[in-house]
Parts: sequence; structure tokens; C-alpha cells
Amino acid sequence: MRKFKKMAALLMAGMMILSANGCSGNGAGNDEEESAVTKEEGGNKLQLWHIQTAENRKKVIEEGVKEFSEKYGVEVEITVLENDPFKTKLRTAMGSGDAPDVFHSWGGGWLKAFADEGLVVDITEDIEVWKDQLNEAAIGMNTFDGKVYGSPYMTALTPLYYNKAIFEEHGLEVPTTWAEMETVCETLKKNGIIPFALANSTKWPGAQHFVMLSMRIGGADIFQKAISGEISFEDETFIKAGDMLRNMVDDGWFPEGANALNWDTGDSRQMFYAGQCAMILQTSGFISTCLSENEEFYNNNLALASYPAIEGGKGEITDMLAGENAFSVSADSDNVEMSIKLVEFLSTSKTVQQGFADAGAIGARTDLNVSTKPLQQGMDQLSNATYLQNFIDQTLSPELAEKHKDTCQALLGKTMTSEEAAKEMQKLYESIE
Amino acid sequence: MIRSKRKWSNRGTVLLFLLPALVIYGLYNVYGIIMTFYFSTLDWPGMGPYQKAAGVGLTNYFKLFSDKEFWHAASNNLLLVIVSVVVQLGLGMILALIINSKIKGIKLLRTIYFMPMLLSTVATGILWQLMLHPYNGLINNVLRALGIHNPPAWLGTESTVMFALLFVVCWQYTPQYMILLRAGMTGIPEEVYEAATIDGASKWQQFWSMTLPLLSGTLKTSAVLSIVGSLKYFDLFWIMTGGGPNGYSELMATYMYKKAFNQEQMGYASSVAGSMFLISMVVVFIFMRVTRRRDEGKGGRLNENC
Amino acid sequence: MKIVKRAALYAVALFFMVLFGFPFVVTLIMSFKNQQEYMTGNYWGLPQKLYFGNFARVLEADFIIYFRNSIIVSICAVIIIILVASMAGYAFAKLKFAANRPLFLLFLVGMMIPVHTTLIPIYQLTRSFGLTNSLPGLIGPYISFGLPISVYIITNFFEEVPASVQESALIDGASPFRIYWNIMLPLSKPAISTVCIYCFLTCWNEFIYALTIISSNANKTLPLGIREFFGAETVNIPSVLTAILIGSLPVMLFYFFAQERVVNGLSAGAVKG
Repeated sequence: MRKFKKMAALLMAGMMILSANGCSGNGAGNDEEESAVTKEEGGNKLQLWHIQTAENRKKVIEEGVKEFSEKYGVEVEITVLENDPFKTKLRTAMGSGDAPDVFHSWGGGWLKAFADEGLVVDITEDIEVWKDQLNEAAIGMNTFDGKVYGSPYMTALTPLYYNKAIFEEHGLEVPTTWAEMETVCETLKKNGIIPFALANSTKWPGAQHFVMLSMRIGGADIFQKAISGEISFEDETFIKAGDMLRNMVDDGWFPEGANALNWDTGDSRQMFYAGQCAMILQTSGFISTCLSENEEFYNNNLALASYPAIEGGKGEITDMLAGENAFSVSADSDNVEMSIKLVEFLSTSKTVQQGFADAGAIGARTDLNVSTKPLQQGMDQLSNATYLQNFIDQTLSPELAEKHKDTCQALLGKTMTSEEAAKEMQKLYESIE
Repeated sequence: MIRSKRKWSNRGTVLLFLLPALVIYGLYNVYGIIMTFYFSTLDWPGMGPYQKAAGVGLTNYFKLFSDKEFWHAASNNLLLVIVSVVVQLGLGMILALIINSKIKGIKLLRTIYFMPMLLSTVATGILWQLMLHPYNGLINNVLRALGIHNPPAWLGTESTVMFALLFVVCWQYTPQYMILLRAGMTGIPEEVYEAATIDGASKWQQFWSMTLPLLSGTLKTSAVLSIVGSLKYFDLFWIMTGGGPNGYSELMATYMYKKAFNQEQMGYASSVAGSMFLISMVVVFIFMRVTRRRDEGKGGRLNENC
Repeated sequence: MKIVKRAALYAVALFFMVLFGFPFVVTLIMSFKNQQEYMTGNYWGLPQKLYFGNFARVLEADFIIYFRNSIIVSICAVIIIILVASMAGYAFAKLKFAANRPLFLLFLVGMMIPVHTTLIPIYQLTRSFGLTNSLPGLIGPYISFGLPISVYIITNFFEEVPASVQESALIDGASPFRIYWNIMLPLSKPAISTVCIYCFLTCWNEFIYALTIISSNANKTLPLGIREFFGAETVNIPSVLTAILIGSLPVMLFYFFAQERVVNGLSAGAVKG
């Protein structure tokens, strides 16, 4: 019996230690989290979740939030995660009513899915106040059935980056037509350089090539037409694009085993910086990444161009694949008014927006000061664009988007023909729309 | 049968011993798996309350039955099971013998052999992915230095990806079995070996006719661990290839994850999980039957009369 | 002949030492490199300039906190698992009651549950207990992960213990609880240490439940902390590897020094006769 009591005591002690740790965990959390923000009028606390994990951009948001807290007397707790964990955590939280007040979104089909479930606040009226300061197309990507569900804080496009030092060295001109591109790639290959860097394990970098090809061949609105059902996903544009993509692989324009290389850990960027590859098709996020990873390269080698036009195609070289990052307010929020104010602040405040520009990212405001050449080139492309197509994997519904990425990866791996890929897309589209 | 003079409530005793386990298990495991099966009967994307989702009975399972990608994943799991059991246990045994022998620097050896287990899966995944980079990775650099001109893109080519992944998985998990088997070995008293040596048995004979049989319990446990772990396996495959290229290295668990969190089909994903569960049960029970020993155990049980 | 055998043994041992150890050497070298140096081409060579910034970054990033949390969570879970599983193991192996076999099978079945599916129901359960974003909220699921396999291992082990041990204790008038606490537990050191190692490592490296349940910085565990070094589109490789190194170092050192005791403990528990 004595032993039993001893064990019981042990267990109790254990429990107490556990709960003490649990409590101090939460308590310490509150203390360590916010720097210097103690408010008189009961601070309601806001939860902000975003994905800007890169040091420089993360800091921009932190500073912006500090300013916001001081101005409005509201504490904001920030959670930063990158893509996959962010999506998993957000989804779990949404389902159980634990959603953050303000959260990052990519607009398009992804946001719409949440909006359809009534999980996002409609800010159509509120945004009237500040929408003129922002890029209109970007707002459009958060608008469904005329209602606005998010306010953009960053915009992005997909330039074709190239290493100007390599081009100079080999006497190459930036290609503006596909024929010119073929000449450039031949020269590069003769000199032992792989034309395009590509890391496609996450599937979207490779898919972007397919999208650009399709847009150049069939016209900038080709995907919108497919989505609305005006044309089929088996339209000859997509078949031709798929064939061209496979030919690029056959001609050795991409690294071997690109489907296994990881963009996030820098597998393709390594090769681009080292001069093993001369070009890379990527989002404008790369500008900022390059600046922080390899400043020397950023200053001396990085230049922006646009995916060349294809002879006989309906698309222009100035049609852009673009996207945006927005903040939305969760319908579960206890403080919707403040949340909307935070969203407004992040979209429009000079601190945040200029901060992004300094970090090499393109903000949502249309009137920013830019000091570096690559970033300027990016912004110019954006403002001169003749058409802005939202990133396809954000525009399509999640299931269709996955199929799109999967088929493109298969095309790059030569495990599917373009007819097969197109057929799968159309089949899935028909079964869910 | 010795009868004790003291009587105690047998049921109470049993309850006392079992209760904590049952409570925790019931709360988390049982509830968890029941909900999984429940979700699998819904057409639910995973967002918003599941109470509102439409019930579709066994439709998800029918869909699963004819799902080629799923069965391809299952076949990968089968491969993983076989390789894991053979390599991790076999190699683990060899290593256990090494660290159980009288060899210099044994303390260091034990620590180094154990290191792969200490690395988190994320770490292992990233590290090996870097080393397997087709152009700049350490492995291919070494191969090129050795004169091999076109080393393969390990994780990017269908013919090599499973090999590469299995290699890394074995690298990470063999130490675990090394430890398990060694723990089993230390349970065998020295005298047993001494007697055998006196009788003239060679080290080989001692190993085959004494060590192995005496370790059969540990081996069986290790095998079950390995089999179940391989059927459920997720981590390294997800981190290193995400199931690619194009689903070639898919496992049932990565397939389930994709469906649940990337493709907004939590209901369907739950049916994948439910199937994994059922498959595991079948496999393990077959295994247990084949290596039936439970009731031969020497440990007698107390019953009400004692 | 003996010398050849000896040499062969050393050769094999050395081979595996290199195989299992070289990635760590690589990690160590990497931790002294700057991200910029790494990205500009010096992937595997020695760093041209010793860079300590990675270590600074890692320690700056509340690493101690994450480490502490991981220790708390893992150790608590392991201790509770050992207690609970060994009690259950004793019941299954040594007590006779009608539901013995079925209940044991029920536990066995728990080993087959793929962890990711139960994420959402468990999260909601944790939430209803009010334990989200707390260490106890994480410990609960962690215990449930390790329980089935631990019960299995320990039950199997207890079954190997001869009936005579128990019977002689009964003659002395011991209650089942005393038998359990004073005899069975000490005897089962090999099984317990196995369970210990397995469960500890599982908890130490667990990521997805920690990600879902924990939200504030002060409660993060090590795997979450390491994730901090991951960017949305960029990963500071040297920093990540440094974080990993620092994270595994204490456990490695502990294992190196504690080996002796573990081995002694194991052999002391050897079953006699």
C-alpha cells in the first residue's frame, strides 16, 4: 500500500509539473511575444498569419505591425509559416473555429473555396476607401461575384530571368521570338551551358513553362476560356504547348532530373548562380530572394526579360502571368473592425509597402520608389502588361490545379503525351464542374 | 497451485492496471480511428464543419478500389516492407554483433552508428537531397571523380528513385534495429556461450544455433515494428520527392496527405487511411499467425483461484 | 587466421562508421559556411572563411526555448508511456481475465493507425479540452502514438518471464502490485529501454502535430523551431543544418556518456535460469 501511495504521489507531482509548464508556457508566450506594447484601453489581440518567411520581408511586416500597434493600441501576434505547413495549419484551424483574425491568401480559387464556405469576411464596402491606391488587377483576383474578399499587399509576375554576363560573353541577344530563342539555346548548349534552370519537385515551376507556352500560342485568355467552358482543355493549343514542352526536354534545355530538384532548397538557383544555366522562368519573388542570397549576382548578372512570343501564336510578349498576395479577414474573428484596419494598413502603409520594395518585392501600391535595376525592370513589365493572367494553380479549383501540376510534371518527365495530359485535365474538369 | 491466504478483488486489480492505458487509448486512438472511418463516408473537402458534409456511404471505397495511383502506392509500400525487414534487420543484426564484440573504440562506434536515428527526418531528407543533387551533389561529384561520366539524377529518374529513397530510409532506421537487437543480445547470459565454447562450438555455430533462436522474440518484435512502420511510412518520401517524379515514388500515406491537404478531398483521403489501417491489420495478423508463439509463452497467468 | 578475421572485423566496422558518420561531418563543415558562400558554388568544400553567424542565428532564435520544450514533452510522454504501458503489459501477460486476448488485440490494432489522418479529430478534441497551444495538449497525442507499440513490446517481454518467478512471490504473500513494482519492472529493463529510446525519438522529431497544436513561439518544439529557417521560397541551408546539429548534439552527448549505464542496466536485467 505504501508503494501505491508513493506512485500516486509521483503521478500527481508529474501532473502538477505538466500543468505548471503548460501555464508558464502560455504565460511566457504572452510576455515574450510582444515587444513594448502595453495598452491602457483593453488591448484586444489580433492574430496575423503570413508566409513571408524570408528574413528581409519578415522584418518588414514586423515593423509595420509595430507601427500599427502603436497607432491603434491593439496587440498583434504574428505567426509565420511557409506554404505547406501554412495551408495545413490554416485548414485545421478554420475547421474548428480557431482561425486567425487576419491571414495571407493567394486569391483565386484557393480563396474562393474559403469564401464559398462563408469563412471569409466580405470587405467590398470597406475597400472602397483605399482601393484606388492599389493595383486594380490585383484586387480583381480577390473578387468573386462582385464581392471583394481580400486586399492585396504584394503583387507578383513571372519574368524570364537571364544571366547578362553569360549573354554578353557569348554575344547573345535577348530573344523576343521563339526562333531567336532556339538560336540562343543552341549556342548555349554548344558551350556546355544548360539553357534553363528548373527545379520541379514542387511542380509549379515547370507548369509555368506550360502556361506561358499556352498563352503565347492560344492567346492570353486561353485559360479563362477553358475554365468557363468556352473551349476544352483538349484544345489544340494545349496539345501544341505540351508537345513543345516535351521537345524542350528532348533538346536538353532543362537539367537532367529536374523533376526531383527542389526549388525551395535552391537546387535550381545554385545552378543559375554558378553559371551552369543561363536562364530561369520564375516569379518576381526571385528578385528578393536573389538579393538576399547572392548580392553580387544580383548586382552584376541578374536581368529580366519576358517569355518570347511564338510565331503564329495569338499571344503577345507583353501578356503576363501574374499573381498577388493578399490578406483576408476570417469570419470567425472577434474583432472584425480592427482586423480590416490591419488589412488596410498592410496594403497601403508606406512603411510596409516601401519596405517590401527595398527588400526586392513588388508591393501592391502603384506609386513606389525603387532603387535597383532588376526590381525596376520587374515593375515596368507589370505596368506595361497587356494582360494579367492570375497564376493558374491559384485560379483553378484546388483539385484541378493539382491535376494541372501533375500533368505538367509528367510532360516534363516524358511519362505522358500531351494528348493524354489534355485528356486527363478535361476529364477531371467535366467531373467536377 | 499455491493459494494465497489473502484475497483481493481480481477485477479491481485488472482494472487498476489497465485503466490508464485504456483511458488514453480510448480517448485518442480509438476516437481518432473511428472519426477517420466516419470521415471516409463523407464527401467532405476538409474545410468548414464536417457536420454539414454529405454522407456517401462506401462510395469513396469503391472509387479507391479502381484507383490506379493508390495501388501503385500500395505496391511501393510492399517494396518498402520487404526491403526494410531484410536490410534493416539484417544489417542491424550485423551492427549489433559488431558493437557487442570486443573491439577498440567501441564506445565511439556505438555513438556513431546511432547518429542517423538522432537526426530528425527533415534534417535527413534535406541533407540527402543535397547530396543527391544530380549536378552539384556530393555523391555525383565523387562518382565523377571516380570516372563515371553520367551519374544518374537519383531522385529525378524513375529507374533510380526508389533505390535512392530506400537507401536513405535504411540509413536512417537501421540503427534503431541495431539497438533493439543488441538489447536482446544482452539478455543472453555469458555462461551460455562459455558452455558452448567449452563444448567445441565455433562462433558461427553459436550464432546460428544459439543467438538467433534466443533472439527470436526480439526479431519478431522488430519485424512487426518494421512492417507496420513501412506500411504507414510517410516522412522521408514526402520530404525528398513528394511522391514524385509524377507519383512514381508515392506511398499510401503520401497519397493520403495529398488528397487531404492539397486536393481538398478529406473524405476520400480518410478512406485511403481507413484502407491503410485495414491492410496493416491483415498483414500483421497473417504475420503473427505464421510466427505463432504467443500461447507458448512460459509466463503463467494468475487467475481468480490463485 | 585470427589476425585476418580481426582485420576484417575492423574493416567492416570502419566502413559502417564512415557510412553512418560522414553526413555529420558534412553538416559540421556546412555550419561554418555563409549562405552566400554556399550559394555561390562552394557546396561541399571547406569554408574559405570560418563563419560563426549560423551559430549566432540559431542561438538567437529562441533555440533554448524550443529545446527545453522538446525535452519536457518527450520526457513526460516517455515516462507516462512506460508507467502506463508496463502496467497494462503486466495485466495482459500475467493476469487472467476473460477480456485479456481481445483487449490486447485491440491495442495491437492501434499500431496501424496512420498518424496524419487523425490530425483533425485530435485537434478538435484537444481544443475541447482547452489544451491547444500548450505542452500538455501535445503530450497527450504523443503518448497515444507510442502506447500501442510499447504495450506490445512490454507484454511480449513479460510473457517470457517464467511463471515460477511470480509463483514464488505469491508464496511470500505479495500482492500483484508488489510483484509488478518490485519484481517485474526491474526485470524488464531491456524492454523498457527499448520503449524509451523508440518513444523518445518519435516525440523528439515529431512535426505535424506540433505544427497544428502549437501556435505561440514560447511553446514551440525543436522541429518547429528548425522550420523557422525555412523560407517560403528559399532555405538558408547552412543555418538549417547548424540548427539541426545543435539540436542533436545534447542527445548525442548524453547517449555517448550514458551508454555505460544503459548497458549495465540491460545486462543486470538478464533473466537467470
